[in-house]
Amino acid sequence: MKTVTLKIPDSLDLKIRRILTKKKESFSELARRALVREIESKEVDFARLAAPYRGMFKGPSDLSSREGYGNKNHR
Amino acid sequence: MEIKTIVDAGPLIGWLNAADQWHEWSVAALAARRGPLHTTEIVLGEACWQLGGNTQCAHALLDLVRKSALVLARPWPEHLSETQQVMLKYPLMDAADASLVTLAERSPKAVVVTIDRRHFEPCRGLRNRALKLHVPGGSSQ
Repeated sequence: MKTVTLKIPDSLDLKIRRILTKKKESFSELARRALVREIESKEVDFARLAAPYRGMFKGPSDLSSREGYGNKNHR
Repeated sequence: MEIKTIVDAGPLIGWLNAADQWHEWSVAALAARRGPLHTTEIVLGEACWQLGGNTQCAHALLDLVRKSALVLARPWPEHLSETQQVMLKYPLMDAADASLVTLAERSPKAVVVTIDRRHFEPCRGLRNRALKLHVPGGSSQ
């Protein structure tokens, strides 16, 4: 693991200390979790990007299981 | 980029079509996968064709390619002979199905998400190994 130094404003430090005391966890644990969440939110993810298109139309109920390109081997 | 998930046309159509019998399954199956999904151009073409060609739904799929949520892997032409061998070995498979088998065999960690149990479950590829499948009624990998 890498060690990093982080400069934060006093006001943020105060808020963090309160949370740490309440949750009984270390600053490193909290910072790691926050960083992972931030990075993951920026990563390309099909489900997140395709969410606006989910169920965008109502077509035939068997559309997803039809043969493609006129395949003669029908299911 | 490591390929973790390969998707067939069916689940993509199922994601978009609220009235589809496999809509709920497709949403659950694809939402459970992290990162981008991979497919081939012929499968994307098949999905667009099933969605009516130049329609809003087809454009939705193309948008997802543009946003890199759906990544086009290109096993052809380099591995086209493998695809043809798969088609000769499994006559029920068309070129689109077989392109996914080629991709899956070149990405051994990848799970293939498909509704098409009939064609994919019996398939052992060219290496006589079962594919990692996520199919309706099957276990999710």
